[in-house]
Amino acid sequence: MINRTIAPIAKDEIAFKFPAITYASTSNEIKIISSFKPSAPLINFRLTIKRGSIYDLPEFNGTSLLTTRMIDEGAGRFNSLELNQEISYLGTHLSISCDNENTYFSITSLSENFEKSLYLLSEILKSPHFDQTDFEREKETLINSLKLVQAYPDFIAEDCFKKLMFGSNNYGIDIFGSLETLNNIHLEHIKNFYNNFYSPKDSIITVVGNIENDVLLNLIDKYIGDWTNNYSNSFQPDLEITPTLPGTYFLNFPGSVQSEIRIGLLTPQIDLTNYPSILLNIIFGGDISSRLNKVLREKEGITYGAYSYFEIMKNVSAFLISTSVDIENSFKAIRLIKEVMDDISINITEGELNYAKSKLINKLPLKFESILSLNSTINHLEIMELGLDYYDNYSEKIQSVTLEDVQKLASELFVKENFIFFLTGDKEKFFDLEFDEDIFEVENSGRIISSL
Amino acid sequence: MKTFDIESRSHKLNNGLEVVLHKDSSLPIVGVNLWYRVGAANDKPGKTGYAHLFEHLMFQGSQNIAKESHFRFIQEAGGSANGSTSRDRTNYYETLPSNQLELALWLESDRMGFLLEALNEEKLENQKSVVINERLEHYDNQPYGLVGEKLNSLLFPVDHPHHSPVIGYLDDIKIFSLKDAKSYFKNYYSPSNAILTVAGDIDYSDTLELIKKYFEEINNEKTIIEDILDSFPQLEEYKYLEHFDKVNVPQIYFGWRTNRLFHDDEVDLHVLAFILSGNKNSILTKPLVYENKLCQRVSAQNDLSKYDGSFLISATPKKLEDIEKIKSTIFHEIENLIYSNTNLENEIRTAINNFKFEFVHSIEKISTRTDLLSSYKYYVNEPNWFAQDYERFNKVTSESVKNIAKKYLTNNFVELRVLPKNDK
Repeated sequence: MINRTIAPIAKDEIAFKFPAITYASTSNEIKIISSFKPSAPLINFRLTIKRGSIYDLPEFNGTSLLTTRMIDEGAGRFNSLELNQEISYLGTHLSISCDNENTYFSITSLSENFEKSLYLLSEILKSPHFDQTDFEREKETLINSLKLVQAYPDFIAEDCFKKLMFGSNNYGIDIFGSLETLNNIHLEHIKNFYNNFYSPKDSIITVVGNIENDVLLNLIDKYIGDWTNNYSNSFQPDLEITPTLPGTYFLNFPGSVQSEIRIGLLTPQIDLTNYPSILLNIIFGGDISSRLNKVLREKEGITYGAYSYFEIMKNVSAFLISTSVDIENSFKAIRLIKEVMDDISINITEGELNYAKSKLINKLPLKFESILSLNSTINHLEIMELGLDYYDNYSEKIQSVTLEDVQKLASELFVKENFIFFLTGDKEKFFDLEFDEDIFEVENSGRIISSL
Repeated sequence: MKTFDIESRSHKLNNGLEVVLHKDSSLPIVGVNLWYRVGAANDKPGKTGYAHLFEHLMFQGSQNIAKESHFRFIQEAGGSANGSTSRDRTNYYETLPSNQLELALWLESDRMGFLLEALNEEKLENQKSVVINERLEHYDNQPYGLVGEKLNSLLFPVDHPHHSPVIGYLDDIKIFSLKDAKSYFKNYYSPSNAILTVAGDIDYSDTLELIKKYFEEINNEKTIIEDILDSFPQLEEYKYLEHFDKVNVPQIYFGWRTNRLFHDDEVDLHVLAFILSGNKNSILTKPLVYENKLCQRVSAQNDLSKYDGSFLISATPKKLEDIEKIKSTIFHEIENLIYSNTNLENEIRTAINNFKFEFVHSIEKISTRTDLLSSYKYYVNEPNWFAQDYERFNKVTSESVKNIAKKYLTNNFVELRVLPKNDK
């Protein structure tokens, strides 16, 4: 029998090097960042416009999303169905989406089909039809999609929780908008959003895949280099965030057999160069081995999983915790999470920190394995203006974080009284539960309607 | 086609463990993937969900690995790990930097050989509770979450491997005992009932030696495989169910019994699903979503295992009152597909191009490639079956798709309507 009592030691160390990056720009001055990756005959191309739902006018929330749904419904010489047939025939995966801050055009194709795919994408970008019939269908579909997702407890929880966290600002409004604001949108709003916010000067292109750089640059310039839209719109989104006061809030969701729990705190001081925060999150709730999961899942068995993360956008940063538990354990879960917060704010061990450091440093080879994961990282670094040297000396930066750094951050961050605690579940079932805190019942809009 | 030529080497250890190795040194990464030949199909009526619950127990530590340590070891090494349960098999996998391969083999071999030494009542009860919460979160508390369960219970008889959900019924999960767990492990988790695949930045002979070091001393127990019928009577009649759920938007589903994975009909069934709903111009999508605007979306898909299969069409009506019109359009279009002289060559080529893209995409990552190697070894006893698998699609013709549609979609079927509770 071999000795199994000791974990094997890693073989020779693997030196990680961030893949080589090339910079260029198109004739219309869009920055191009690319990386040659020949491991598979695939290419992922992303064009990101730094305009998202925070540019929606409040009474027309959902405009940015509906614009993404409309823009590939016919372009250039193709109507909606013809265009889709052209893309589908290639087997190319086209995705057009947006979030609060950005709009993303992405194609992933076999290398052999890249030029044709890029041509079709350029037609969508430069010459969308925005036909009235297509608009009516897509608007109705989006409204029905919103109705559909409004039956999902996690959507309802996120939607209301965002409003508590970010107030009436567009960061607090789901990109869907609401049924009311979607109904307000007319085709002219879509055209205006496109004309006012889709522009080369607010765009970047990132590409990873099996294509030589000079060939790639020629193709991009050929198809995207003549895109023009140099609007002089001076619209500035509202970035003033006024969250609801800290406390415990409850949203009734009749018939629910579980409670959705969300907990959060704005963290304007935290960005992606705050390495202690990355390490602290791993220890607190960042993975299945974290303290949250140890307590809620592995010790108490009251959830399938509990997680935390820093949501870091260009203009907003927040620390968020999320879990689902059976209703009878709702308040127990919150109590346990508070205990984990209390404990971690004063007691992080060297072992925990070493674990978090090893995890971050050792996972670098895996993090950039696929063309999609590499391009996603490059794209994110560029959008967040972190610089593509972010991962140079990354190991050293992580290793240099001390236990004191992380403990200090934990003691500042985990002040329970600063957090918003939010639950959604069936109110009738909550009446049987004991709780020892003030709880405010809110409606979907986040407005307080009573005290429980 | 070179892209699909994934060279591998197969071995069998003295205790019966089958080993598949594949070398790709383009990145310093390795995938470890262990398939056990047991899945939800082996669960019995009244004891559903056992395969899945047991998957959870495998992460509760073994003789030399403390509870909660498996994930921690792998994550600390920079890797990721998980397990999954299907009807046909339960698998466990790690992807990690290649210098940490031995760690994954140590962890996997310890639970294969020495799990019971560390399994106790407390761990079992804890994981039963976790699985119950998983079921609540992913099924019971989700709109449309019970659709799969309801469709399969209508489509397949009680003793059929597709009848019950992989996660099991709540009451069955609650009664799983430590005695059940121990006998389950002894019967199914033997080396001779498993396939271990290691792929990535490896040296063939060194890796085989490492595998032998950790796995060959594990004793083999005889696995008693119960008879799972591979032939079941087809649906004798049309079945209809209305399910009133906490939803705002209705959905309708139609299900037909078909055939098993890797059966001669499989590829035609995949192409059929694509040409019915794979893009905006598809046979069902175009009239229902774009021309008549009756639906939000329509989708056709296959659900296949090594035992049997089903073909499902679902649609989201824009209006409740349009359901009958949608149903008649779906059946009219299927009939038209089967009996008209329409040439489907372009649709089939589009479908094949899409499958080719998905295929290339799936083998790009070492984790999915490793899983596919295990899969081919398991189902067709040849790990490097990528090219043959892809070639199957090139044999599809207009006639073969129409014949498959006629063979299966003209039989008795199941209809399920999920309707908003308020409209009851």
